[in-house]
Amino acid sequence: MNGKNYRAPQLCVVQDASTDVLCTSNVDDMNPVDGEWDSDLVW
Amino acid sequence: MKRILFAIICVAVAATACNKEAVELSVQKADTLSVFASLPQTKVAVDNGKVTWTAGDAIAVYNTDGAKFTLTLSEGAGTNYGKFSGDFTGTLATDVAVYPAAWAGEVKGTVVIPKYVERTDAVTPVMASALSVDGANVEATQFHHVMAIVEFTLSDIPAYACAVKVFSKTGAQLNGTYTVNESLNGVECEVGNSETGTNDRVLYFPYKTGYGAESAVKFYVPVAPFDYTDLALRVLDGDEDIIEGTALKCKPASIKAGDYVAMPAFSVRKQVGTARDKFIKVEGVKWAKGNLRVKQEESYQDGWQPGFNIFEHQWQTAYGERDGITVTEVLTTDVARDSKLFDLFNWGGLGRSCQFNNSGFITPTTAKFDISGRVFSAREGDKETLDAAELEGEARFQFWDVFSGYNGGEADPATGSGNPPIYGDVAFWASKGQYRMPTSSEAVKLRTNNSAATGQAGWYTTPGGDMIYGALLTSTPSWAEPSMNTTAVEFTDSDLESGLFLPKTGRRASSETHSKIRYFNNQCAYWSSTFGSLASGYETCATIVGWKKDFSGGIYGYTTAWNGNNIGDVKAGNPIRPVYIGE
Repeated sequence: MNGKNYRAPQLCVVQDASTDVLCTSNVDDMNPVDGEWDSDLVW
Repeated sequence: MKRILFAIICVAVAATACNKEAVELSVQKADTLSVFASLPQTKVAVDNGKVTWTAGDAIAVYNTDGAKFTLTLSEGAGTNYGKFSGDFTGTLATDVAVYPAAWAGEVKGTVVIPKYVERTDAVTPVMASALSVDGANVEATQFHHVMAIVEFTLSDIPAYACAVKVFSKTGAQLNGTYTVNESLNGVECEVGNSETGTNDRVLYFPYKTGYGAESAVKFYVPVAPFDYTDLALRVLDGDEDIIEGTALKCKPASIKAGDYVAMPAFSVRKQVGTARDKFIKVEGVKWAKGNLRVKQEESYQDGWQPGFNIFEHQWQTAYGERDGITVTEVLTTDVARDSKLFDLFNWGGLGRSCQFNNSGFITPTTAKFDISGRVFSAREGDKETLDAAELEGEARFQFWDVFSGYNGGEADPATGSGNPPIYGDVAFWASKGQYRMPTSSEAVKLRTNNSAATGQAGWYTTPGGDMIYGALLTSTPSWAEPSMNTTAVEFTDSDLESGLFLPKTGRRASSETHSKIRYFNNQCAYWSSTFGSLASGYETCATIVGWKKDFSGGIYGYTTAWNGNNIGDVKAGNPIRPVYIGE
């Protein structure tokens, strides 16, 4: 972990056992990149 | 009624109403709640870099005791805004959630990608997000990409390929445990020469995937952000060996989290070229692409004794090649063989003596004896006697005819007619050193009780309409279990390219002359180069590998006495599938 884990507001709620969690989330899009094979293709 | 923790994870930029302060969650009852408990398939649609959730997606969250919980997508498939649900106990840890849940480490803040991953059409970007709270709901920052995806497109994949390996010679980490760390741009994965992973990733797939000139298959490979100098792709066969010509190197690239790197497509078959034209590799053995046969040819063939060669196709047999005969049945009677073509040999005979039951064969009288790649001037005796009679150099390939009237009616060579005074490996002698008979240890790899090759019973329908029965044997890679399916299926050209197809050529009984073939499409046993006595200590020695009509007992192999008057008698006529000697 190197002591550098992402920090966010901390939440501490203790629930009873067998509790369900519902959440919603979204995602980032990706950055299209054109890859290339090396000139000496076979390696 | 269960109590629930209802949490809304929303976009950091879009959710302007979200309160960034951490507050205590409210608790609601679950009477209207649907909870999806199925395991995640971790599918995310990526189209030109746009990412959306799809059914089956799951994220992992942790409690403050470090336990991992999986939440499965319940709403929002097809959009970038989805709802996840699942069981949870304890205190929610809000510093990290991970997608896909299947690759979230058991230790919070880690991602674990196995070395072996089954290829799917699903794209799996690896993402992480922090969690926070807004009143009754859990809030979240956006799911950031913590890895990139490299897309490889392979076309016209030979049927014997069953995996690709992404590899870094310089040791960039490509599997194992990654740590999710803070960075200026969000969260990224730590990568390097770590003790927590190694420098390769294998994406495996069934034989015949991507077979055919018009086919193309994509491989989506999540990789950690890194300055890659030697990221390479390799195509593997069933032994997990690199297929010749398919080790391809990517141009050095600094790959960042969130990159979707599309590599130019390439044809695997074009890369392989002619490298595998002469053999089919199963369990590390380079088998010839057809059975040994001898035919009264109109002309000699370079590199072979006159008339000898291997069949062009794996399914070809002497009886199946007969003009005017269409065979679709499993035969239970003897049939006459062609007068100019045959493929059943005794054990040890060369030239004219290779086909008879009354001359030429070798009779080792004691101990195990191996003739693979060897020619002798004696045909009987103990191991020391036969070893002493071994020939060297060109003397091994001296000509002795099989038929009269070779070479378009031209006269036979002046010498070499009649029964020769040399004996040994007919495949080695006939091919002048290009091929040899398989050894016992090579043959037993085909046995179904040896936990090596995988077998399938079936038939191939030839262009002429013959149905040729036999067994298809393929390498069993480390991610599969060997098996033998005795229910016959029809084989296609792609099936036959995937492995070793041994047709049921029938056989010649040790008491019969060379004029008949017994039980074509029915019983079959292939010679190995090793003959053992019935003495103890040779239980693992196989003189033949074969199978019965219904494959009861699977593919078996055994050794027997040289004059046992059965299918393993040196006087019997059995087919030979040679082993290729060249590189």
